[in-house]
Amino acid sequence: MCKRCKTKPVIKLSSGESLCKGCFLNYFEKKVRKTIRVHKLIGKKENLLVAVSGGKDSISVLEVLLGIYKGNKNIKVSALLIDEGIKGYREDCIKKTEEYCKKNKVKLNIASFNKEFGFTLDKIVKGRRPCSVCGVLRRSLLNIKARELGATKLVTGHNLDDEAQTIIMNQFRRNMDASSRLGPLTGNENNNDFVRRIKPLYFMPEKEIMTYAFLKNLTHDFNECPYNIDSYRNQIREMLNKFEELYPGTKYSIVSSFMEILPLLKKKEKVAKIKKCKICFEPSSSEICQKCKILNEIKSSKH
Amino acid sequence: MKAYYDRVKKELNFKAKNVNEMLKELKIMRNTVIVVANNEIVDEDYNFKEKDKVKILSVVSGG
Repeated sequence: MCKRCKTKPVIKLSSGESLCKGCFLNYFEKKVRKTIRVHKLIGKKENLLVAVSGGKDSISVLEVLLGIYKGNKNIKVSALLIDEGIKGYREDCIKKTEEYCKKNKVKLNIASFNKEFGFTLDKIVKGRRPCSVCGVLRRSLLNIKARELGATKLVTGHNLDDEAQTIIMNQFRRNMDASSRLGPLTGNENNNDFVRRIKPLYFMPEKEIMTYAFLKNLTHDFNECPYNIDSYRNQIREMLNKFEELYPGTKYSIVSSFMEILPLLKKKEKVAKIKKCKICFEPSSSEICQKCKILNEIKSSKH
Repeated sequence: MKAYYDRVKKELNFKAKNVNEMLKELKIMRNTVIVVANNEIVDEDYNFKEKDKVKILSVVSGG
């Protein structure tokens, strides 16, 4: 029975507490509001741009924000979808996102690899690591478009599972520099070239997001990216899921203990100055940004 | 009984009487799925009824 109102439960949280539909939806939205408040993710006047993919995470974060800021004229919410050009996968995601945005009167912007870079992911993927190439190009495009659209914050649907996996991956690869750029709020308020990113679902496990999405009728048939072969992340995910099964709360412990050391990591990172890429003038940690390195490599391989 | 598991896109047979036992029997981790009976989410302690239409939905992002 639901611990709070003694009715039929829909979920047992990792704390062991069972909740019914109404109590769970209240709990979920309250927890997201708390993340926004405690980590100062959203100010009094913002132009929020939500990076949407059509999946449960990004549509759920959009749904929660629309609920929280309904009627607030100082907080504008719009959406941005990146079409990488993945045949048989992305078309369906675009359709679902368009339907949601139309129904909820959200302005949807769509940017594509084909239009911006002159190729689809399908065309250049052979012989390359699809998730790495796609991730770099997508992140860069999100920032460029967010700036063009005048966004004050770029909202992503990253969740507790994603972050716990990334923290462990960085730890295993001794990549603390990458970890120093994690957290629910990233970017620098003094750097206008980089639109700050926020992750309101930072402390929400995937299972809770899926439950929220189902109860809000936001879920669709399971649809997996055909290039989802990032075996290292998949292995870490599998390992963490096994630990979570045996020791509920493991993922939360990883992320919350990481949050305690993050200020120290960020302090160390300040030493490394953010540069501008010599080719595209976008913010970069090196002389030439990762995006331009990839684009150059693709260009040279054509000759 | 039978349950449709969306991640493998097929129906799986099971003998268990409740959700928790079914997931153990099918070797599916609880934190990776939600379970739906007759289009309503049910928690781990739910006891199946004979005519329940059971679905197991993966919570893992599709990429």
